[in-house]
Amino acid sequence: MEMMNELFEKYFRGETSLAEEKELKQYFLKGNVSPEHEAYRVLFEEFSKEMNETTNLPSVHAYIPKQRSMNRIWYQWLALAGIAAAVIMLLWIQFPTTPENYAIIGGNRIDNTEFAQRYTAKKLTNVNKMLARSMKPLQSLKNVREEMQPLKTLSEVRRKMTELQNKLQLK
Amino acid sequence: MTLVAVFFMVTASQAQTLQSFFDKYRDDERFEFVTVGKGMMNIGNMFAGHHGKGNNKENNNDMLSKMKSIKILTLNADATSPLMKQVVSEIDQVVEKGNFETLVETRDKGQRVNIYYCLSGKDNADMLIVTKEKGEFSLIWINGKMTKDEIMHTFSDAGKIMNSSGFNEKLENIASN
Repeated sequence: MEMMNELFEKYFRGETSLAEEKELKQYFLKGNVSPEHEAYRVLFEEFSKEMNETTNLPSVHAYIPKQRSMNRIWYQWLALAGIAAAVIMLLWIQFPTTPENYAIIGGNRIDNTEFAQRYTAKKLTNVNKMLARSMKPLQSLKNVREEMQPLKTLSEVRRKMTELQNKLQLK
Repeated sequence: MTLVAVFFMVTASQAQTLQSFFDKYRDDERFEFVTVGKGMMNIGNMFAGHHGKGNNKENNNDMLSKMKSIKILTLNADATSPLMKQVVSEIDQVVEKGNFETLVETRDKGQRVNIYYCLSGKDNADMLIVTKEKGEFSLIWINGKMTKDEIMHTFSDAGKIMNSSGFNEKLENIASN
């Protein structure tokens, strides 16, 4: 009896081992319970009942959202990117671009390819003419250099004649 | 990967600046805007058909085949007008911010020609020709697969191209119709 009292004190202090708790349960199950311990019978019987109870509630895991693996996320993103690219390609092919050759003069659009091309050609020609005018002095310099070429030849002939004269005098 | 993304973003922003400039003024009544896309063989014939011979003709056609588009924006206004000053200032900023390289710069009796070049991709380049003469300011934006050498070669034969009689009259007739 003394030992059981110590066990109860230990139990309520929360210091009992599993074996000691089992011993307490067995004590109540056997039925040979001392009157001073009768007050605890209800408590232990309730614990035993609760242990045997089963519940129909869903598992805790059912409430936790499933975590998708990183690979799966990547595959999903890749698939979405592929679909987006395909849609862009389709739009690119399906919708023809606006006519490339046109002009807007005075706020009015002129869809005339020939006009647009001739206008462009005229502008490019104008650029060429302007460049040609600007480069004219350089061309003149080139011409002067070409004109000077015979003079250079003359001076060369004169130098050779002088050399020849000097040689003849030495002899 | 990041470098490639940054490169594309930078190049895209450059084109967009010039593009946004053209977009801003192309519908403006005070401007003339003309765009010509691929298939510019007519222009090719005009370039080399009358005066180009041999290699010169082939080079001009080759150059034109590499062009993807030509866009021209022209403003006819007095040189001292606020609009002209604004447009000149804006295009100078576009050229400066777009990292354009100056290929040609000439000034002659109130006429100014500037040719700028800018790589806008691996195989793509933008050429911007800015001409300013009495009462007229023109921007010619050429996009295509062209190198600096090809551009210089095309304009080196300046003055030999497009001088056929009656050409301007024909153009005016088309415009009036």
